[in-house]
Amino acid sequence: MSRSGAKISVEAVSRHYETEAGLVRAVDGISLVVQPGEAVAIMGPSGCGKSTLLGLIGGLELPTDGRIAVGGREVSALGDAERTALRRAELGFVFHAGDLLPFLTAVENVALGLALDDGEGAYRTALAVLTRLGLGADSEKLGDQLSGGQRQRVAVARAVVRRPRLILADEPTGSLDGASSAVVIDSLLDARREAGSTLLVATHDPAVARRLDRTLTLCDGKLAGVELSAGEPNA
Amino acid sequence: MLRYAWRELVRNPRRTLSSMIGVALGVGLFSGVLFFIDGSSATMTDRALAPLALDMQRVLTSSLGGGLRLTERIAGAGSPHAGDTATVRLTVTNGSVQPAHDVVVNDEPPLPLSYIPGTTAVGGHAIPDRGGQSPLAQGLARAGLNVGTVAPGASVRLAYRARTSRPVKSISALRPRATVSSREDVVPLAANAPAPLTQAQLAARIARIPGVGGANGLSFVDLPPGSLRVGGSRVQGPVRVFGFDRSYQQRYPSIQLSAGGFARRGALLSAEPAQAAGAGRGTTAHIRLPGARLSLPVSGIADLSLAKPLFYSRNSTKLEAFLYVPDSLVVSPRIFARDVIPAFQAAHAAQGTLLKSPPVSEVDIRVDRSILSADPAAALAQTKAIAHRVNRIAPGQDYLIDNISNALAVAAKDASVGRRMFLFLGLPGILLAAFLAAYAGSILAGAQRREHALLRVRGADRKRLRRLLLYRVIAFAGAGSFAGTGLGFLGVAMILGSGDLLSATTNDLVTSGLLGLGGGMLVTGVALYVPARLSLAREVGGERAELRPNRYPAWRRFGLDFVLLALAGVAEVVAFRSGAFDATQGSVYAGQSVSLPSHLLLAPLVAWVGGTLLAVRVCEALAARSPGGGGSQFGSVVFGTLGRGLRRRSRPFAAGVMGVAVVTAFGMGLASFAATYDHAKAADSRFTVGSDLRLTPSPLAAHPASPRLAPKLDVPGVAAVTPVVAQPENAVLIGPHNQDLKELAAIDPRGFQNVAPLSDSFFTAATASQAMSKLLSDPRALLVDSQTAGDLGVGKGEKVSVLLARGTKQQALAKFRVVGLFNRFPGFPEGVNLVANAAYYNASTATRRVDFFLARATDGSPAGIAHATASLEAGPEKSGALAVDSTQTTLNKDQSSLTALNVHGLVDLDSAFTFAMALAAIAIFVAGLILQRRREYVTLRALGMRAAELRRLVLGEVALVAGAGLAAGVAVGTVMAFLMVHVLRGLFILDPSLAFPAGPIALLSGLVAVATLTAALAASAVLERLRTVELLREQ
Repeated sequence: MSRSGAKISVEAVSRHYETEAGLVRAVDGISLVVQPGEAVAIMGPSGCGKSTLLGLIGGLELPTDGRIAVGGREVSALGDAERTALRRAELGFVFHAGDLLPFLTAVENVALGLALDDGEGAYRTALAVLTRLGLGADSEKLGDQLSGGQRQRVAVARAVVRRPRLILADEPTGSLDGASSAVVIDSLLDARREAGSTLLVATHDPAVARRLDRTLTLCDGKLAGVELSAGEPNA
Repeated sequence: MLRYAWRELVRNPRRTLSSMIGVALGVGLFSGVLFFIDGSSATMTDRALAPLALDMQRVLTSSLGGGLRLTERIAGAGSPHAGDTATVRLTVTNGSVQPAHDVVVNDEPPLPLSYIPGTTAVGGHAIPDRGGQSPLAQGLARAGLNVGTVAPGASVRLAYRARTSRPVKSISALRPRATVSSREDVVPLAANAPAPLTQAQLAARIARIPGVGGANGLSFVDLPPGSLRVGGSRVQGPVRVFGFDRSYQQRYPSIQLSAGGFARRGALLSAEPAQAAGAGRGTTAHIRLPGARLSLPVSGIADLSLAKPLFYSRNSTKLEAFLYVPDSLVVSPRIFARDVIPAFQAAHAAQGTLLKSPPVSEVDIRVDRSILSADPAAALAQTKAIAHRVNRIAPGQDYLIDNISNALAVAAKDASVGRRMFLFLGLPGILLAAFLAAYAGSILAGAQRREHALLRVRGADRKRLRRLLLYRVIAFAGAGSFAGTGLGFLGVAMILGSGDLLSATTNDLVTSGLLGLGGGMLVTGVALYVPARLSLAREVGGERAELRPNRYPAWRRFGLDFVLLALAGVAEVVAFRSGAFDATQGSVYAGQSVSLPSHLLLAPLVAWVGGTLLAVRVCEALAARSPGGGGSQFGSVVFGTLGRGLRRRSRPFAAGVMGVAVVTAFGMGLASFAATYDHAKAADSRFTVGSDLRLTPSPLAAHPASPRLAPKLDVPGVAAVTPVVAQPENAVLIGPHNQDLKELAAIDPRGFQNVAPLSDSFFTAATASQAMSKLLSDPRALLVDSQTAGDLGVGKGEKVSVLLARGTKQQALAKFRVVGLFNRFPGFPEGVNLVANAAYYNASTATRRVDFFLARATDGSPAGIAHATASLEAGPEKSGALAVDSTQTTLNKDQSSLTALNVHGLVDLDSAFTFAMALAAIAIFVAGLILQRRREYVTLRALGMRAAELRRLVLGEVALVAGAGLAAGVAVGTVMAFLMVHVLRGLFILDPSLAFPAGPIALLSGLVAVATLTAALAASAVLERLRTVELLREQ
């Protein structure tokens, strides 16, 4: 199955929180467009709104203001069920700490993504993806039996196994050393290449950003700069 | 630190509530039980005294004498020195109108005086010493001197000399020691005693004692059959003549006047002879007294058939027996004293005449019950004080039977047994509080690991963290215990009513409150502190520990579940073998309380803990083998996730199961206990009544009841009626070797089987049906109770003779064949020895008289019985010809105050807390799920799991925990109830059998189901509100 990547369109999006300390402007009037199949890095200091922006694009939260469209569908106008359906059908998430379900083995964590649809042949497909990522031998291990890098690669496998049109990765290499980090990014880029997915990666690591097409820099919830990088050849 | 701890409590209301709710409910249950014990004492006192016919009886010991007096004077120097002598003079005077026979004077000089040998004289004539001792105190028994008969108005003078061994300050201060007795006054009377009081004087002085509600004289005497003639017809049976006045009748309303009333020169006639002779007011009653005759006009007719004060046995071996004498006459105390007593005195005075039944004269005392304390022990102290004051009036002239103190002594002991039983039933409350606190604590400890790590990063050392933990534990345990004690008080006030609760002494209530608060704080504090303290010390990631616990908990490593169950089993077997459950029935009159082996309630508690742990072991093992956790198919997202979670996280699942099971088992055990108690009580009352209703023809009825009345009693609400013939001591069983007076019941076997609660266990070597068939097929068949058969040496198949209708005109000797033996027979509270076919009985005695009817209600429920009673009262009973007793009225006549324990109230209290705790256990489990798994849940949502799927996942896990907990709880609770019910054996006539309370179990299951659903939905709603992005970013 080959699907084109999803175009992302963010228009004047804000996300504000009321806290005891006052109003927090996690994302403050950001506008940007990511073309289908494009790999974009989002950089910036901690607390600048990278994860919030990814969450808004992924429909995990709704913006306080502005409009977000993914693949032509206005996420910010969708209800919870439709946003869930969107995540299920078109999105793949890789979280900061992998967030594998601890009571599932590596292959089961990956198969879970497929089981959200119908689960037919999920196990076999999941195993194939893990094998491709070099984790075939560790497929029956539980999350706490895998190294940090392996866990993130399993998380990548879980995100890409359904060949999503958009992959959102929130600091996928944040807790990894350079080598492991490179392997995880390789996995993401390979998956993107295979599925033609759009890839958005929030990262602190300039080395990771350099391997993507473009780098957006956020500061205090605002877009501070856009930089094209040499990046990987776009499939 | 204190401020941080406070903020932590306030800012995490869910967490705070989860920790406190278990503590509050558990302590609430425990303290509630303590308050309940205080409050229910009042009920026990009331119920203990309710069936008491007479509070106190001051019985005159010399109803035929009373005229004998003895004076003692010591003459000599006013202050004699050692070696001085004195003369002791004794004078016996007979002030009675009858001679005193065999008058015995006993005396020894008061110390330091000693008898001077050979100085005794009677009437001025010297009397020789006996064996070197004074004739007034001779032999080992120091027996006195028989001075023979003292004529009415005559005196006998005795004197002797005595010497003092040391100086005496005042000779007049020496206390005389002489006594006098006679054949008429067998109780020795002290010298210089005040003049004996008459019955009326005694009653008047007793009535003035504070706390005495009334004191009335009662005299009676039994006369042989044929002693009464009414009009022209002679009454065949034995006769009892009473002497009391209107005030006595008004004091004891069970003495009912149906016509006429008291008259100075007249007599009340009991209904039976009046009915038989067709006598009414104005008819003359002729009484044959020993050596005299008394004729009195009948001034009224009295129904004495329910008059307990008149007919309760005065025989110490049969105090609880109601020995009714149908042919009775009541005369005024004046006539009794003027005509009846002298006749007996004369008869008694005649040498060689032996009186079988001398007159009895007593003052019946009614204690003012409104002043008695609610606590039986305190009330006992009050009645004993009253008894002491009663005894101080004219001491030595009579004796006191203190029924009320006996009853209260029993009630006090029963209350003590009840307290112990209640305590055992309440003890689990504090254990549950500890468990729920520990359970909540362990869940929170896991969730707090991260916070502790952050605090450490910010510089908090272990010591500070421990102090923080201590503050938190004190706050949770203190506030929870305080709230729990309040809950317990309110719960009891609602169940018992604030009046009953506040009738307990302030001291008791405060003690209970402090015990609840202190015990609760201590136990729950430890339960909260320990898991949290261990968690502080643990560095292993919670997730790893949860998934692959490398060490089982201590109870499991040591097989504590098996050990506890084995202990409970062994304790039960030992108790059975040693007869610990065969508790004796109590007797209020004998001051003997019911003995309940309440310490054996420990066995069910041990089984409760052991059974729950075993159930948890089993659940964990089953969960670890749950489907959906293996193979190459993931399955549906919910089922696949749930199954795998269950399999790989079986221990948290088992902990959740334990939470629900331990509470449910306790609730189930108590509900079964209460249901069994109810069934046993109902079965006992059916056994006592003989069916749902007992219809006793009134002695005032125009005609004696016959079986022909039975169809008329078949009114709406009544399913079947059967007649029964039974009277106390109405038969003589003549066996091959011996004979004895017995109670015989004549029944219609088919009808009796249809209405009476016959059980196979009542008969030996035959079923109930077989026994009734034999009685039906062979008219001469006779069923004999096992003890009678043993005593008289008669066996099955033996031919015997029975004197039927003993002491009546219809008395007849009939042949029978023993066809079976029985241990118990329903319908005869006083017991029955022989059961015969009514048709044969009627043919043999040529009578069709029925003593009572037994009726089975169409609907045996209280409402059905009430309906049948109402129908009877509106129909056949309208004229007052029938007295209707039912199982419901019998329930209210239980003598043991222990059976009056408000077990239902206690179970209601326990059930309310149990339900709340079961729900709390589920809530804590769900709160734990949210705290520990929220990251997993938001991950699943981020991956695309629908809200409905997540709800199903949460609901599935909670439902599995609740369902497994409920199933395990019901199983363990049943075992617990089975063991608890054994303890009740001593309370009931019939062995209680375990009842399964479908209603409460359905209610509990329904509530748990609703709680599960509600908790799962609430959890889903909470999860929906979580900040997904923020949570996913947490390390």
